[in-house]
Amino acid sequence: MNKIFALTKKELYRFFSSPIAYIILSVMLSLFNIFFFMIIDQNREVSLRDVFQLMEFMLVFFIPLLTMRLFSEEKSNGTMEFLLTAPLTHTMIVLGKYFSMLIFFTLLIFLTLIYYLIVEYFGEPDPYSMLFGYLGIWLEGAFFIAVGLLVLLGHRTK
Amino acid sequence: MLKVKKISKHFGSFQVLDSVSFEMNKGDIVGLLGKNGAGKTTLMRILTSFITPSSGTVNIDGEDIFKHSISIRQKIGYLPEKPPLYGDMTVQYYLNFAAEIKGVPKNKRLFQLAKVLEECDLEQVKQKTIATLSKGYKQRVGIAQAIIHEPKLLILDEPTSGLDPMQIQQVLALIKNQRDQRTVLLSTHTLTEIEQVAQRVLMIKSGRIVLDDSLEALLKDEGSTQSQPLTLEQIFINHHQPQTSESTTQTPEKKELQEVSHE
Repeated sequence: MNKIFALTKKELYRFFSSPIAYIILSVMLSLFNIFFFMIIDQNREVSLRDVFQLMEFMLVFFIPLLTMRLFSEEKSNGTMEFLLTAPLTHTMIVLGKYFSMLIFFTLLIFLTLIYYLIVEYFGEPDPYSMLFGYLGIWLEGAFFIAVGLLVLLGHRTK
Repeated sequence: MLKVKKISKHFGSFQVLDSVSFEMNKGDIVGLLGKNGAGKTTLMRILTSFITPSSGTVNIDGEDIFKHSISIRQKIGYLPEKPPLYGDMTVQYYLNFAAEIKGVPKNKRLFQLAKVLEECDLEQVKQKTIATLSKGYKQRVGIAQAIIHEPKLLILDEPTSGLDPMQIQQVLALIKNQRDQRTVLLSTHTLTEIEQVAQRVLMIKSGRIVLDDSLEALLKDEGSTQSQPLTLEQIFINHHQPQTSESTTQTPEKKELQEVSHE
């Protein structure tokens, strides 16, 4: 477990040492914010249902941006050999990468919690529908990251 | 300590290693020699269980490395030809990460880190980003990650390639210092380096071990037929010279006879 944690930490450290993490965060949040204000302005409802639907759709394009570099960078740096000759199982390496991207995605979703606070300020939204909406988005993201990794691993073995 | 028994490796129809066998004892520093494409890197990759052989076995301390791959890797330190470094990390962060994934206990990590920083003379650059370091420092960081978990067997694939003479001497001194603590297998093209650090030479040609002897005995034996003792370089060239074809060794009489028979 400690080794998976070390791999996760390493991925996040490298991700946040490069501008990629900040670019992805700012682009995604900007897009979410624009659509949030457009939807709220048009619907005039104390609900985030349509916002969640749009986020779900955008994740299809956003998640591959996160996962596609995970193994290709290791391969081009020659660090894949370093990981595969260290006392690590393949599962540890994959889980380390998976959890790092899940943490990043959770941070992104966490930053959108402001939508709930805004809606809460103007009306009385159903907290359970909000909670499960966010949970649904999070689970969908977790699933897409797993699929993204699976596709990359499948591609590597070809 | 290390027993390699009849290792063969094919990539499709291409045979890279052909029934390679040798043994290494504790404290040995063995130089692996061979031309480019002779199979040195493949052999090293098999010993580190990065790739599996087509046939044959490798035992370290009596354990099969492919059956107990994870626990065996704990005993191996490996520096590939291209040092496996993350350019965006600082030296200290990278070595700490290497210690973590190689299972160095938390209470020993700081001690080990300080030890390799001192041993590899990296103290003054520990806070620097790896990408900004010179090639010599990068190589030393690569060696530091290979020894941070106190491996019993150290495998170094061309550790001095691309370094300037000063850096080569520093890296060789570092390898020499490992003698008391671990068994070392290193490959290089520079034969004088082998003469400086190794006690034994393994020469590999077209995937086969063609020479396995102590350096001292080798220089003595091979030189005994000559008027002057041979250098390792001459021995290497002798083993790699293309074999004289039958036609060129034919005596004029034989050649003549052959021409007559053709007529």
